[in-house]
Amino acid sequence: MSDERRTRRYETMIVLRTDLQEAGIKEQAERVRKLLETQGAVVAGVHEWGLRELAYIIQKERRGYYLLAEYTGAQRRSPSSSARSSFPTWCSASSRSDRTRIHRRWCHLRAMSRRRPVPALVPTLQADDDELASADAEVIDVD
Amino acid sequence: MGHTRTPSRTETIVDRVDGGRADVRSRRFCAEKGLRIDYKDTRVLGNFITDRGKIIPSRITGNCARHQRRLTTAIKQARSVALLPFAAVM
Repeated sequence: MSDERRTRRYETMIVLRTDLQEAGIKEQAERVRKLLETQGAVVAGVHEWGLRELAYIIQKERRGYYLLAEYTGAQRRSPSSSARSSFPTWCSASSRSDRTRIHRRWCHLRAMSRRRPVPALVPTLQADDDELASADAEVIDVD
Repeated sequence: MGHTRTPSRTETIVDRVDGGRADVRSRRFCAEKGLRIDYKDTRVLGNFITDRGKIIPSRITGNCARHQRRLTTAIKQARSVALLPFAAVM
């Protein structure tokens, strides 16, 4: 099984309070990156969407600063899964300490490797290792 | 009775009027392969919700079942991060 199959791509969207300054937002982005990396995830990037109007009021806030972290983790029992599970704890802790967090939800979308190529029965049985390796590489993006 | 055209794979019959004349609409996501359903793309998702924020059923939009499922999931994900409203005030 190739690495393509074993890894999954995730993304976490974080909405920060608007009263954070530029340095505070950078710091939060760095904290997200560090948390993921310490748990073994490979961070592809933390993108700042900037200040946006919220579709509904969250904790008396009408606007929020959006961060989007993209990272890769292994499929099962991965360090990144523990990172994702520790996100709520981390967010609540940070909101208690400096009230930077107004809302945090994470949507881990299906990874590119989630949909495995459907093996054609006869060719797969007759395929050699090279053909199987190339089939692994042709992973279709789902979403 | 009007003439009924058989819809192609990228079309769907969304209504029958005058006892049989079919109103055929395009299945947008089936027709445009480059168009992706993403919870972050509120511009696309916004076409499939009403002014009040409700999800428009596939019998109105003409989406196929697979894409309607993906669309509703994406809309609900977008709602959870406040990109789309749960219910808009008129």
